[in-house]
Amino acid sequence: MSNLKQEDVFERLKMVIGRLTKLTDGANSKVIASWTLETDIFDDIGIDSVDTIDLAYAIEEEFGVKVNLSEAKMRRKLSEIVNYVITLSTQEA
Amino acid sequence: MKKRVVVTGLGVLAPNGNNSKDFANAIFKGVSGVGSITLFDASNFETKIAAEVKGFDPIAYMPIAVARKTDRFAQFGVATARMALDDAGILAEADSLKTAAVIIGSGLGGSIFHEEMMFSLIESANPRKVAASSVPRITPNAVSAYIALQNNIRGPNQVISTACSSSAVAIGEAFLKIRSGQVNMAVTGGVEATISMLNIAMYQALMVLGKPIDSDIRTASRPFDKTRNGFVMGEGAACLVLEELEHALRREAIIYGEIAGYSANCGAYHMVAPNPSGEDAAAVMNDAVADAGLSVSQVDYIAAHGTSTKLNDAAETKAIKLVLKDRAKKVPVSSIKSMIGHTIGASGAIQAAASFLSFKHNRIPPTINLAQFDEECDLDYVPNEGRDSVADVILSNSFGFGSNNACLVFRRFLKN
Repeated sequence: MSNLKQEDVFERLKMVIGRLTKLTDGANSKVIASWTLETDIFDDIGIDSVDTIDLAYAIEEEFGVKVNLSEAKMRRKLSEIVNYVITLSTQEA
Repeated sequence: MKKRVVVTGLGVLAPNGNNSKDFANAIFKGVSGVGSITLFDASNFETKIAAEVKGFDPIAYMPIAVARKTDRFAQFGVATARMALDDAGILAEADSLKTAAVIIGSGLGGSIFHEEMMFSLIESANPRKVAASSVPRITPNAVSAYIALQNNIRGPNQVISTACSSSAVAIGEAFLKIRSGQVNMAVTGGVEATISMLNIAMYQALMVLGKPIDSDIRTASRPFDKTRNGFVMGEGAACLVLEELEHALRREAIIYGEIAGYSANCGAYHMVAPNPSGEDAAAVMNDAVADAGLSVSQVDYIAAHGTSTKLNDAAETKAIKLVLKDRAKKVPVSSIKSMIGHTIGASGAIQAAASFLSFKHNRIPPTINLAQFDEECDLDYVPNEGRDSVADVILSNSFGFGSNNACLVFRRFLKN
């Protein structure tokens, strides 16, 4: 069983994406606060296919999991990524 | 038949003005944009001064998704292209842009992000610390590509890198493409983001950076002055919208002036030093005037390369004398690098923008910080104060490392 809670993963994931997209600074932190579980990282945040590689590495580092890139690319909503991280961490454990 | 080429839009980001209006006010009043380096901690550096673009906010000119995946040099290009296209009133006529060329000069490309990634890799010894977006971010043509992407411009798309003459060559090549009828519009100019730890260290090591007098940092760039001892590193960008004359007239565009001639050559003399005889620089100026179908007796003003190095300013002065002969001391020559430092690959484009603003305002910019006469530099450099002038023909010089010389001829617009 994973010890990760959905709310915690969601908050940490937002910071990971914030750092990657340089949205953590100053006035832009409001942008992060506006993200919900329904936010789409492609349409709403402007992540592109190249960014997903960096995002996968950043998620691996943050959560100590091993991301499968082709699986990860199917997941665009923050809720889907949160659940994917929880699933991966369950497998790791 | 050769087409005529006119300038219908300007966009400028300079150390002394973040748009063409503020830039014009600053250069004609002699306002310096030189200051202390703020973009990195230069406390361990011998050189602590530079001419930075101040308070640039990329988000004002592009979506945040573009801003966060582009390096500063590309952001400068997207921003100034947007300003120039707005100024030309062409954004509403998207069809005109579909076949336009984008030709931009940049000496260094995305060297700042390159440096960031090198530090990141060396500190972590982990290749995964190198961003997947690195390659498209540092490649010099990121700037021309993003200008095209942001504005749906689908004609020839190029970045030209000939060091300090990059953007003069870019403008010249765009000019030739329109004059020959290959395209009828171009977004052209130059960009450079130079203020990084490695870059300043490299130029400092080459001993080409200037030192101020009595710690008044604004005096560090003093072209043609006897005490000059190097240039001030500058950053910035300028974009111009070039149009075939009939195209511009049909849409009743406001015309800043005409590009009448261009020439580029290589002195094949030395990788860093200019030929002290000035012969290669004189040749490029003569060829550009001939290309414009004019005579050197018609030249009213020269926008000098004037870097504030011992060698350039003396060689350029010699070259001007070889070209203008007995008129040499009568034709005003000035260097805006005295105010904005040397913006490397952007310098020719910013100089071009200044020249078209000269036509608009009937003013020529001064060479500031010119106090001590040098026997080797004995022309009229418009010392310290801008001047009213109804110049009709302007030569703009750009000389780069590798003996790379370019000269553009600008002409006040007359319909016939």
